[in-house]
Order: sequence, then structure tokens, then C-alpha cells
Amino acid sequence: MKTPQQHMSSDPDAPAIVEDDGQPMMSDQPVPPRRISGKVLRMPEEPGAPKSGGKRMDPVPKRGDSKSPARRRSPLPDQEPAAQSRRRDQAEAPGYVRVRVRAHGGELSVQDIRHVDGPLLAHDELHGDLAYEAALGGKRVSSGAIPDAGTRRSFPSPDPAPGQEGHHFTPTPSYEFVVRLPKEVASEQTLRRVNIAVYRIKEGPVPRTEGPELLAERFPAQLREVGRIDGIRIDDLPKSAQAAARRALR
Amino acid sequence: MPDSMTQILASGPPGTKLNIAVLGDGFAAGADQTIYNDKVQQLLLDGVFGHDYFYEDAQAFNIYRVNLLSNQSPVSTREYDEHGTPTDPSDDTIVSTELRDTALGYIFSGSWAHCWLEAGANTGTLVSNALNTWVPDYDLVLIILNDPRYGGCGGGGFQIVPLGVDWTVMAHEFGHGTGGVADEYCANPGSYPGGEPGSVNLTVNTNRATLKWGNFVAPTTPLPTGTGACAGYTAGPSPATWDDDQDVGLFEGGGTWSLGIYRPVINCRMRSNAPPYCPVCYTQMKRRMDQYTQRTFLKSYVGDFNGDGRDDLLVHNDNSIILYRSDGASLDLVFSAVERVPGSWQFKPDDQFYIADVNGDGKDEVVVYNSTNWAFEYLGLLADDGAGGLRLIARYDDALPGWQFQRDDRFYVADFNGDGRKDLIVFNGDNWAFPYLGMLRSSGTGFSIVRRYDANLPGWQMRPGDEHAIGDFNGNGRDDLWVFNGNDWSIPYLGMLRSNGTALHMAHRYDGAMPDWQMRPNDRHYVGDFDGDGKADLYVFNGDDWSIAYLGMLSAQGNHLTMTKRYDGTVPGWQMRRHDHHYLADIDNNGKADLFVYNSADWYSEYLGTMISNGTALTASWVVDWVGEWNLGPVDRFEPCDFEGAGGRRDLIVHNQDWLGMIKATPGLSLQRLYYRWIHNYHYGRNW
Repeated sequence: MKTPQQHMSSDPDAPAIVEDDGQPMMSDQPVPPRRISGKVLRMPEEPGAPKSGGKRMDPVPKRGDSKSPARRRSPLPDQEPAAQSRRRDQAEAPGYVRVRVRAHGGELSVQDIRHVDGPLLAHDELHGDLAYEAALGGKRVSSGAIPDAGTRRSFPSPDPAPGQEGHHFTPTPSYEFVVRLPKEVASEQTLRRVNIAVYRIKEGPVPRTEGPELLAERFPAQLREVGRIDGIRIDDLPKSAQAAARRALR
Repeated sequence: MPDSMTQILASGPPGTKLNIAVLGDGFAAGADQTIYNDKVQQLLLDGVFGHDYFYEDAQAFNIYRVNLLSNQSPVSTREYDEHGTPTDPSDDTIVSTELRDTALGYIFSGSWAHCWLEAGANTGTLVSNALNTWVPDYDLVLIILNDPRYGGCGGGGFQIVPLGVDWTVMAHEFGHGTGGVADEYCANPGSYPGGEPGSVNLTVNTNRATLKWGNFVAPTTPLPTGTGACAGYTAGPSPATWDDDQDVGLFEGGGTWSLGIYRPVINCRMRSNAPPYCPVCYTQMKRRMDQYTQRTFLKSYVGDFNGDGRDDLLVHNDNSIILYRSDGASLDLVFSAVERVPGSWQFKPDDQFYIADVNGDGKDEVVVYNSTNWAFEYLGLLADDGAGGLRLIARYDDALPGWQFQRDDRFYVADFNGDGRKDLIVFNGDNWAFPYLGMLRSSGTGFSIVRRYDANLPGWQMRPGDEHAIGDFNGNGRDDLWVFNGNDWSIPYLGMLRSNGTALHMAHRYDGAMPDWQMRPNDRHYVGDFDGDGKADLYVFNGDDWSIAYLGMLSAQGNHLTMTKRYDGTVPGWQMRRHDHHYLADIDNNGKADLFVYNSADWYSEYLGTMISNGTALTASWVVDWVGEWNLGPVDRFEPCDFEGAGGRRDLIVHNQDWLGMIKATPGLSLQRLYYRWIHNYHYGRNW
């Protein structure tokens, strides 16, 4: 085997590259037929009718055949979804839980927990003023922004009186945000070890990051912790939300 | 009629999208629900998601419209006596309150200082219950109140509005909720008292070198560009081409303050609602939503969808398509569809697209086939909707008369009857007891089978490994069929089957050898008229089965082939290698089919070349490693086209997961335009 040439030659008459000198050069001689399962198999000049049996297409309908399905005209029904595999284990189906958290006077409390079917993008870019992070065993499992929290903002008047230009801002004593947790960490037992931290974003936006490293360690200059829950216990939820939470965590 | 929920924008699973829940309050059963539905349509689908940024990125969002039936209509109201101090709510007294039994218990006041409205005693619980009952997950909540006046209260992911707001207000407010961008207007006459704001679109920094949006500021633009209270362009006369919402500088006033803080443009949507987002806000929204759109450039298709002679671009991702129009030098979004187009065709990840002028109107249509994502197979025909987009004009579910679709159907575009309308040839060698081939004639609005071959073509026994190419080898205006099989027989075969418009006839079959060419299993065929005589000829390449690579030019003589030129190892200007990939083109627009050639595997660097035919021979040239700023790589895919509208096929769209480039080959290979993650033509600067 020759050493591969590193760069293509600029010479219009450059020699051919020999890729495999164990292979022949093209010639005028016919290529000998190869045997397939020990036989030489050649295409007939005039192929015969296929053998009977096997899965066959229905015959082409004759003109005027009323049984022919006509092209469907609008309005068309929705395309029919494929049947879900019944064998799929429920436990394998993707899902996550959404944990609604209320922040009031620096205290965080979980308001409800719901199960949601389907995959989850567990990490979001951190923009605006506040962000959350959920961690288990010192590893981040989800994070995201808490946009637009802590104030009510009246829309600007289209024809404002003096002093009414723009928004009127009113601080709110509490705000809510949603923490989304992958199904893998969302059992009643595991949630007791999940920590939720709220950070004030001092400099933003903080880029979206996927790894397990805690945000406070990754962005110490940009983030300051302003609230925390250490462990989520169903019994601490409002009574009206406890049954639904337990169902969500099954 | 009970309460209900309708998903009016379905982009994907809620955990992978940004979810908007819409609730209504003060709408009773009956006509009120129509008013509510119409307002949702007007505000969101036709308004916010019908324009610029949100139209482009609708694929990032799900919208759930919840229809709650209030026992009484309209919404409750309250009147305040503001005692002459409309900006101070603390001294206001209630003049009257008219409470009604509504689904959520909101009370509309029309008082700016009271956020125009307020919650009733049980509103929080009622809203939570409605959301938990009807919406699987939500990030933003829009609540529409049945009151005709203007107003609106936002915050905490909620926007609560009466019927009197228009979509531009909502688009501004969604800028806060989805992109985290700040207000750019200057209601407060004072000077901003703080430090550097955290938002991307406000700053106190006037240093060009460290300005956070400095990458969008042209070097010729003075900084600051505008000074004074809520300034426009004050640093001399503005350039004649200056655009107040798309040209970026540094303008004093923003974040509601008039002085001491700067915004990027004179008039962004974050200042006055109606203009589109400025480049800074647009880019922030795009970056934030990129993980939710989950788009790539991998599935990119070219075609002249508006018939202006320039090839445009169709990009397919999951359940959406976007059309970008070429102006000859760049691409601009003209159509975005999520989940379906009117007609209807519902997009899925495994949709296969075939671009062709099926009705002969000079504009390309889109044939789309899906054999895996639904309960059975679907074939659709999408055509111009008259507004730059596409709509479905024909759909075949599971079968069309005479052809039952199967998973491994392969389609080829061919005008086999020469009527100027592209037809389809369909082959299936895998899913039946023996192979089938069908000729599907286009009527311009649909397809019908004119001939089906079961097991055999004339003079050809079909096998699963048959490979097909299309080209009019006898120059009669009807596309003919070329079929090759290198693996299923003891020797390779190539058949040239002539079309008479309704059937195929064997013109010539080559058994094992063509003139001056020993056929081998890994022969690759490219059918194009390389001598410009109106008859489709054959390029054949083999880089695998011999000690050196070969390229043959076989000229069609009506019903057979003659060898025009065979290159053994080297085309003048290009040393052929095993992993050369070829793409048919007409680079010099002389009616003679040329080749683009690419090799990313056999050399130290990647090579992209052109092989120009003079009718009897080829001359090649190449670039190595880079085409302008495009770093050639093994993941690159190429689409020959004519985005310049210069005639022939002398351009390339090159694309991979994150990047898309427009490459011109005339006078030499050069990069015309480069896009990263999304296609947007910034007046200055770029998003990477």
C-alpha cells in the first residue's frame, strides 16, 4: 500500500492515485461473472411472468371501475396517527413533573405538583432578573429563568394623560414560578432530597448550560442566591394539592 | 356546552416548547364564545404569530385556548374616583362596582394606576384550577376579559387584557415574557439613576469597544448616535439608507427613562409596539428560543417556488417547514408553517420532499410522502397559495388508484409524457413478493397511474437493488428511465428504457459492459446532457472496484451510448479518489451538464471542485479546506441550484446541522452568504 498523498496536485496532468494496488485496472476484457450462492445468475432477455404466491399489489383498476378510490377532496380529515405500541412499558414513557413554587417575603413554598407526559428540556437560558435551579445530591437537574416576577405592570395608555406615559409598576408581595423536574428524580422519596434555589441575576443573560455543575459554582459573579427550599415534602403542600401531587409522583 | 380546550398551535411536546395558555373571563356560552375565539385568533395567530419574529419562530410555541363559560357576561367592572391624581392609586376611592358571575372573577376598571383591572376574591384559585384542569403545562398565560375597552396588566408570566388591545401591544409584552428584553421607551423625563442594566437592549456604556451590542454597530456609525431626551439620530445627518428600526447605534433614552441610558435603535417594538424587533432584541429572542424551535439546516431543499428564475430554499424540521426566497444574493423568510398547511398536510419528521414543477406554471411545487409516521402512507401535493406560501391541493391516503403505497416506495421526478408537467415514477423493490414500478402522470392538480409494471419491465427483470435515474436520452422531450443493477445478478446490468408517454420500452440493455467501460457493482451514474445536443448523456464513476478511480462520459445516441471520454485516475485539474461525490450542474450555463465534485475523506483537507464540460471533455478546478468563510467538512451536504437566477445550475447551497452557505461557482468558487442557526440578513453584523 502506498503512502496516501496528502494534497491534491495542481498539475492538470497529475498521475492517477492508486487506491488499492491489489485491485485490477479497467480493461477491454469482459468481467467474469461472479457466483451468487454458487450459481451464475444472469438476467433473461425477455423475463417471464412472476411465480405465483407472496404479497401482491391489487390489480390496476380498469377505467370507470367504481371501486377505485377517488382522490380525496377538501376538507380532508386529519392524517391518522400511528397506533402506540402497547408493549411499551409505562415506566419507559418520557415524562416530567411541574412544581409550582410561590415566593413570598423571601420564603419559598410548593403550591402543587403535576405530572406531564413527554420529554423535557430541563435547562433554559437564564435571563431577566431571577432564575431557579433544582439540584439533587449536589448536581443540577434543572434550571431556568423566572421572567417578569415581582411586579404588576399596567400597559401603557395609547393616549396617556400627563404622568401616565408608559407602564405603571406595582410591586407584588409574592410571585410564582414553575420548576420542571425530570421523571427520574420525581418520586416522593427523591423529592425530599431535591433542593430548589432562586438566584438574582446580577449580570445577564447567563448562557444555557447542560451539565450537572451547580449554577452558583459556575457563575458566582453573575448570580446571588435569594431563596431556597431544602427538600420537598408532600405533607408541606396545601392540603388541597397533596392528593394530586401523590398521583403525579406515582 | 361545557368548558373545553383546543390546542390552536401544536408544535411539539409541552416539555420541549414554550407553552401559552389562553383563558377568557366574562364570556358566556353562545355568541360570546365566538367573540372570544375570534379575539384569540386576531391577537395571537393572525397578530403576534402572523408577523416577523413570532411568525418565524412559531415552532417554539404551543398555544392552548381554553373556553371557559361564564354564567354572566360581560366581565365585572369597577369605577374609581381618582381625585385628580391619576398616577397615584393610593387616594382613589371606589365609585361603583358591578360584579358578575364570571369564570375567573376579574374586575375591569379602566384605571391605569390600578393596572386597568384587578383580581376578585377567588380569582387566583379559579385561574389555577382552570390551568391545572385544561393545560398540561404553561409558561405564559394570556387572559382575555370581555370588556371592549383598552387596557392590560402584565407580570409574572401573565398578560390580562380586555378586547380593546391589538396584537402589537401583545407582541411588545411577549418581548418581556419570552425574551426578557426591556422597554426602550422613555416615559419618565428624568435621568436613569442606576448602573449597567442586565437586559441585552439597554446600556449606560458608550464605549464602542465594550458596547454589548457593538457587533451590530457599523464602524461608520457615530457613538453615541443620538443624545438628548429620548434621542433620534443627532450625530449629524443620518445616512440616506438609515432604517430607524434595523440600523443599530446608541440612542439616549430607554428603560422608561429619557436620559442617562441608551437603547440600540431609534424605534424598536420594545419602544412603540408596531415596528419589528430591532436586531438586538430579535437576536436575543432567537437565541432564547433556539432550543425550543430545535431547528437545523440538515433537511434543506431548493426550488423556484415563485417562478422568478431564482431558486429558493425550503427547510424542513420535525413538524414545520420554512420557505426562504432568494433575491439573488441572500435569502429572506416568506413562509412559515407549523404542524400543517391549509388543505391539509400535517408535517412529520420523516416527510420526504420532491421539488418539481408539477403543473407546468414555471413555479416549483412540492410533492411530499410519508410512509412511517402515520397509521398508513400519505402522498401530498403542495402548491403556491398565491401569497408566497404553500397549500395542499391533492392528498392520497394509503393508495392512489392502481398503486398501493408502502414503506419503501421510492419516487423519481420525470416528465415522461413531455407535456411540461413533471410526473412521478415510483418503484418498490422491498415490500411485495416482487418489485413494482408505476408511472404516475401529473394532471397539474394530482396524479393518476398510466402504467404499472409488476415484476418485469420490458427486457428487464426488476430486482430490489435496482437503481434508477431519469433523463431524455433520445431527445424527444419525454423523460426516459435508466435502470442499473450491480449487485443482484452475476454481472451488472444497465437498461435504457424509452418512454412513449404512457409506457416504457427497452431501447438498449448493457450486460456487464458499456462501450469502453467494464461495469462493476459500485458504478455510480449521473444522467445529464453533457454535450448539449438535447439528449441526456451519462457520467459514470467508479472509485471502489478498481485500483484507480474512473470517470466515463458516455454520449447518448438516441437508443444507445458511445464513449466520449474516459478518465483513468485524473480529470485535468482533479485527481480522482475513492470517495469523490458528484453533483450534476450547469456551471457555465451553456446547456452542457457539468459536475460539482467533493471529497472530504481521502485527502488531508476537504476539496470542492468543478468539472466543466465542453461537450467532449472536462476541465476541473478546486478550492481546498475553505470556501470563503465556509469551513468544508465531512458533514456538509450540497444542493446544486441557481439562487442567482443567472441560468443553468451554477450555484450550491451547502448546509449541515448549524450552518447554511450560498456558494457561487462563477467565475470561481466563492461564498456569497453565510448563515448560522437561522437565516436573517442583519444590516450590519451577525449572530455569531
